[in-house]
Amino acid sequence: MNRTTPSPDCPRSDAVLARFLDGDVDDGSGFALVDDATLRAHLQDCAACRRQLQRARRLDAVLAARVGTAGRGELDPLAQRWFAAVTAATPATVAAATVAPATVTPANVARVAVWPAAALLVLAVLAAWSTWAFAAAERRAAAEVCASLPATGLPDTGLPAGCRSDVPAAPTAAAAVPLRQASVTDIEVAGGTLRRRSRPPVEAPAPDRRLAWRTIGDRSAPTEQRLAALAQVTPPRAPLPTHAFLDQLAVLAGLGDRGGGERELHGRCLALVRGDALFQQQLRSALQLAETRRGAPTDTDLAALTVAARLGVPTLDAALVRLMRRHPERPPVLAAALRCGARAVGAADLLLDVWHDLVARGEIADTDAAPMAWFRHQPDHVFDEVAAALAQTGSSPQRVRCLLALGEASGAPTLQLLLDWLQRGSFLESHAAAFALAHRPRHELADLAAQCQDDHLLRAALARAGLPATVDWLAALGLDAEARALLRHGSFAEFPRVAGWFRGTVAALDD
Amino acid sequence: MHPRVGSRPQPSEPTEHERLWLGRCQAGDGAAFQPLMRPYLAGLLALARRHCRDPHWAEDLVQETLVRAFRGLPAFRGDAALRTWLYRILVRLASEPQRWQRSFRAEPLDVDVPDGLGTPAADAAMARELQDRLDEAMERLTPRQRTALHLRAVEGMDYAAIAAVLACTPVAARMHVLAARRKVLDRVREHLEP
Repeated sequence: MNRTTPSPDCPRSDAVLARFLDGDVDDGSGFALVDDATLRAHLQDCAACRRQLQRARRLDAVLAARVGTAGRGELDPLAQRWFAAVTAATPATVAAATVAPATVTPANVARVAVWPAAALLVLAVLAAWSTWAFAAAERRAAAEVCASLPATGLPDTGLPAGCRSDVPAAPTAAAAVPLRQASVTDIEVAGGTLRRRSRPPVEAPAPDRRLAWRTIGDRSAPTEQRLAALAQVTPPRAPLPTHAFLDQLAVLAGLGDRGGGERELHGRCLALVRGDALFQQQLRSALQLAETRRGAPTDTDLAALTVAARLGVPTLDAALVRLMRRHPERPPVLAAALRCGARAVGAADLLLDVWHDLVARGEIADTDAAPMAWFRHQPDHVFDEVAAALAQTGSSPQRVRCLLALGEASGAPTLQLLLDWLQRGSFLESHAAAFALAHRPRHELADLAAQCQDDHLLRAALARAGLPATVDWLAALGLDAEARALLRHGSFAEFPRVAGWFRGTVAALDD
Repeated sequence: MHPRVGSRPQPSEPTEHERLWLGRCQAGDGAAFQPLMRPYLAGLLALARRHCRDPHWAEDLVQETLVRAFRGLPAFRGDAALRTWLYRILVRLASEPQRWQRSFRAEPLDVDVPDGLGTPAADAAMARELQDRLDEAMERLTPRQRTALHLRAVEGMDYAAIAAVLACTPVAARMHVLAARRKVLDRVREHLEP
């Protein structure tokens, strides 16, 4: 703490500011001679105090205008997240039971006890009225049905008179029903019609949708049948009920095999959901709940993470980065979700964003190469994106991450890229390129031993990879078992020290 | 107490709506918490950003403040204004990050270098310069001074309310405000010349 406080130009400036800016000088202020008239007179005479007051007013105005104010557009999504967290972090009810007796005022008691009772009373009255009204309508309908019955006692067929056959109908089972029983049956039919009419106009539940999604998720069904079921699904007009949403989420998370038919089905399912804003909204909510949940993740959390990672929607990506921030142990799940290759664009950016975010928040060190494993077995297009990010970024730490990620790639273009960065990168970047090279498939490195010349980084990389050609080098270096273990299994943070062993000895090794 | 000069009016009494939502909240209606807190979110976030350099931490700090507020609301007796009570929770949490952060984190090491910045207009450059100097000056203050000046200048709180947030006397609150203002003015003096 800096204890040297700059002194104002005039010893009364503080009192002037307190009085004329903050309006808050009273008798117990501790200022000497600070009554209102004295200060007014002083302010008129003292140019230093006037200038200080003007500056302070401007300072307050600038602070008020510029300091960290959030617009509504920024605040609304934050507020949603915060309130979701509040809901998740606290029991479902703070409950009247937890309210201290002293805080229960008569007004509160009235709110707690009277309003629910009144609501129940109103509901009871409404229920009684509707029962009575329904019964009356049913009685009227029954009377109408009885009146319309022909003399045979059978219901009218509804056909025009000219179409009716004059020949008596053949006796049927219905005709055999006694008159009394037929009338009762018809009354029940009419009552059923009325009941159906009296229901509120809710959107009919869609068993077909759930059935279709179950068919889609049924791996034992033929692919054609699953694709046909998918073709029947249309985006819903209202948010799905929770159980339907969870069904759909589970099916989507369960897809992802790289096989031909499954891959096509998965792609179509994701395309369908990318156009379904309501599903995405529910998915965001699920991610928010997963973010705020403490302890082990539930199956729903993991399914939401998996599906959101594969969809490639920017808002869901942002939610995923937040989720990883809260749960730094889950990026491997995210990486696993992306390995199926269903996401064509943005997978590398998402993984790099998570990596950057965890570094920025101190969860992992800047030289930590552990996230390299997230890129292991990712499809080729992910590494194309990494290479593009490497070329575009202006941040050296980000370049280091990209280079490390390329260690998990395979193929000539990315290999050449790493070899280029051995020469052109900064200290950390060139070491990252060498460290990444050591993780490449060994068949790619076999021919590089002859190209080492005086490149100690490349020698270190090949030695770390354990190529047979490097046995002589290691023998010449005279490394003990501990040093060899460090060379083969040391972290990236230790790699510069290991690479240093090869620096001055390259010429000697060649001799 | 003298009448206020140059001070913005601020509601010290709860509004009718606030009383209503507060009563419902305290009676166990969790749904009333959102409308009760809504008016204070922007102010909480602004204060949190003054305390945390990382905007994400600031958001987390507000979130934790809301969680604590929700848990503590049944015991809120209304001795201080709700706003004061919320700010006090936030200031306490900010002063003890280990109480709410999962672990203490190191300063970010990463520095992003933008590839192409356009040439800003002169005014914008001056405003940015002022803002940078102002941020720097605010960061050099002690946490209590920074909070006191923020609550006074941005939130328009009087010394008594600031004292309630900082858990000190009004005179001490005034000293914090004045000392903070003086230090900041010394650093940005040339930008604020009339």
